[in-house]
Amino acid sequence: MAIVSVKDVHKIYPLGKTEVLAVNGVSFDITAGDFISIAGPSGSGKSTILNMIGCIDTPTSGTVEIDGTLTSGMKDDDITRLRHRVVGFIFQSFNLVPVLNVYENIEFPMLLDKSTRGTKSERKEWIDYLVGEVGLDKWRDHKPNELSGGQRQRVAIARALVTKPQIVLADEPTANLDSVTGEAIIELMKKVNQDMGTTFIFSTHDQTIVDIADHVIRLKDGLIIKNERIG
Amino acid sequence: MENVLLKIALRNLLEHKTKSLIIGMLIMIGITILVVGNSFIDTAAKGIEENYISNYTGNIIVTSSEMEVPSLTMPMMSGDLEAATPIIPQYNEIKQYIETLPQVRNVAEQIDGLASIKWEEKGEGFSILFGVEPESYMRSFPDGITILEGQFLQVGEPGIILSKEVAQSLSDSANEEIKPGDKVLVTAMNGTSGTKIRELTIIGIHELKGSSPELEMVSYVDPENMRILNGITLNTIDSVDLSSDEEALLGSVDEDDLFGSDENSLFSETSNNEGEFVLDDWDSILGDTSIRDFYNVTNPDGWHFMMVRLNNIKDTDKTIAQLNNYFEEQDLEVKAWDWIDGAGMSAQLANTMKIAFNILIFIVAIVAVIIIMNTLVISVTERIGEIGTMRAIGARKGFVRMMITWETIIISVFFGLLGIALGAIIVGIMGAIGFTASNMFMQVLLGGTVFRPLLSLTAMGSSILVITLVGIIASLYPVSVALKISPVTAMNE
Repeated sequence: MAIVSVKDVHKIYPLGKTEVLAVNGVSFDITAGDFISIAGPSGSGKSTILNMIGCIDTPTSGTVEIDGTLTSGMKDDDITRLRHRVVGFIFQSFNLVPVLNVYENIEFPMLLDKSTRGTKSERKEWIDYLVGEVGLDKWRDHKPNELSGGQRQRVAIARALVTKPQIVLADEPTANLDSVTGEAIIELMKKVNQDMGTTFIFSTHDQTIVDIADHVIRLKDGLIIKNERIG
Repeated sequence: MENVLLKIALRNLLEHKTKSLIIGMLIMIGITILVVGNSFIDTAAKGIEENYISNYTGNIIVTSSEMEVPSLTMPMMSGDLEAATPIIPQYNEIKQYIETLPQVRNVAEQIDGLASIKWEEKGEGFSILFGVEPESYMRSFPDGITILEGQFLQVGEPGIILSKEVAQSLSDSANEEIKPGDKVLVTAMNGTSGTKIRELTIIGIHELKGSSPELEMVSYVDPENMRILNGITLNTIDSVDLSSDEEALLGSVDEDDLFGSDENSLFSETSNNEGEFVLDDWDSILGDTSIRDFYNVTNPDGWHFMMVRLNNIKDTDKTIAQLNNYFEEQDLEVKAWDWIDGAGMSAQLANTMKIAFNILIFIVAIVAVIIIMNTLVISVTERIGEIGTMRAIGARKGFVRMMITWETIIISVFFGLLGIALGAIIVGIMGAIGFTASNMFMQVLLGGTVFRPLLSLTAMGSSILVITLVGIIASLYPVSVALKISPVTAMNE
């Protein structure tokens, strides 16, 4: 069953007096539970596609459906609610809230909507589990600036999973990490994918991710040059 | 959610200590100035208001509608010097109506004037004159006058009560102390009947409560003499028919004839030539004062002002409107004024200063808004990635708006309260020490020589209002900047 359906999507950005065609008629489906890699060189359009799947950008033409909902034409509050319910984000630069500690950063998305808030004890139980899963038990009261890059990305993974989203989007998640840490992070995400059935969609240059993905989409100049399901 | 908003806002402020301190100090200084300034002005204005209403003006002043400015203490300000100060028409009917109003406590009346005062050949001075009916005046303003020597006016008794300062001035110029029982020549000028001179006996010397420079010049005169001095008479001189003798007298002599010193002068005691006037002839004409007496019959209902005291000061505006409506309906050429209009320089200056101070505060508030807004905008633009990330992971615009607003509220309330506390301490210290007004301008402004400001609840209330408004207005633009941050920016971090 397709959790993401992209149909004939074009994206044009204005650049001064000219226009840049970032995505030039792309169509594909992503099945729930996939560990999918969108790969390609810089400027190939992978981040643009990731942004549109993450409902933080809209196509110039074509359609994007997330969990059966067409994202075009939605009001800001509605699309924010959809994003909060269905999508979790892992960013290249971790993007943690600097003034919150590890526990508070992970808790933060839960507090943004009634549907995920629950009781304080329910939240604590779930966050404690996630903190344990990402191996940060001893660091829960530390602020982001007191953590290493790998630790920060682990916090970001826990934060992305805390609202139990169906999809986690990861934009170059290992780009700012050394190779050992990067591999550990990928293993952690693969484990979550297998244990929780969460769909992971990566935009990446990292061959390690491409190697373990079960669905690879390769882009060049805004076009799909390869759409391959593995195994 | 409020907890996390508050937590983020508070920690962000602590994280950016320098910026927070710049904004905070600005708010604190502004609020301190506001509290101290408003406490000063409110204390002065309240003192002046209580002083004037209780002792001189009442809550409402009623005058002829011809009067341009109903100034009790500066009669020359009431209209054209060349014209007579207009009296209240249909005085009895109006007084009767006013006294029937349940909110009215007392009504007193007054005639105003300016006069030079001469003490025989010994000394001269100048005074503002209040002609009052002793009973109704003392009933309306029982605490206003302190008699230092002699007594206050009695009903039907002619005389003058000099102010301490006028008496002092006469004593100084005479090198001799003036006292009750002495007689003075009071010379008043008015637009209708020219110069009027009356000899009046000094009944007492008084001091007015909480005096100001113009009130220090006020002396009280019985109403009958005040009307004569002001030319408030029943009969006006339009034209006079002269007898043939009078015409002959005025037509056949010149000044040299009258005042020349040669033996043929008109004032020679015996007649040299048939047909010339001798002193006996003058006596027969000037000895008859019936015409002068006719034109000097005063108007017993002639008053310039009616001062109305109310049971409750809060009824002032309502009663003024009620009276003016009544006057209009009855087609009476009379007007009711607020006490401040008749209070003279001190009260009006304090009022003007308050307006000027409020304008200053408004300008300071605008500057504060611009500085706070600018600093907040910088703070927002430094956090574009953070705000974008929040939006990407599910924060709605309302959350972002509240986050910025909370930051402004926390900083405004915290430093605003510090400002109020600092202002209260300053006012407390100045109140304990006392502020000496070193010159006349300050005395007029502060309503006395030593001024002790009190912390004003209004000042504190208005400070809180200003903090809130500054906070809200200063956060509007930064909030709009924050709301424009797209979640996509999180990806570009």
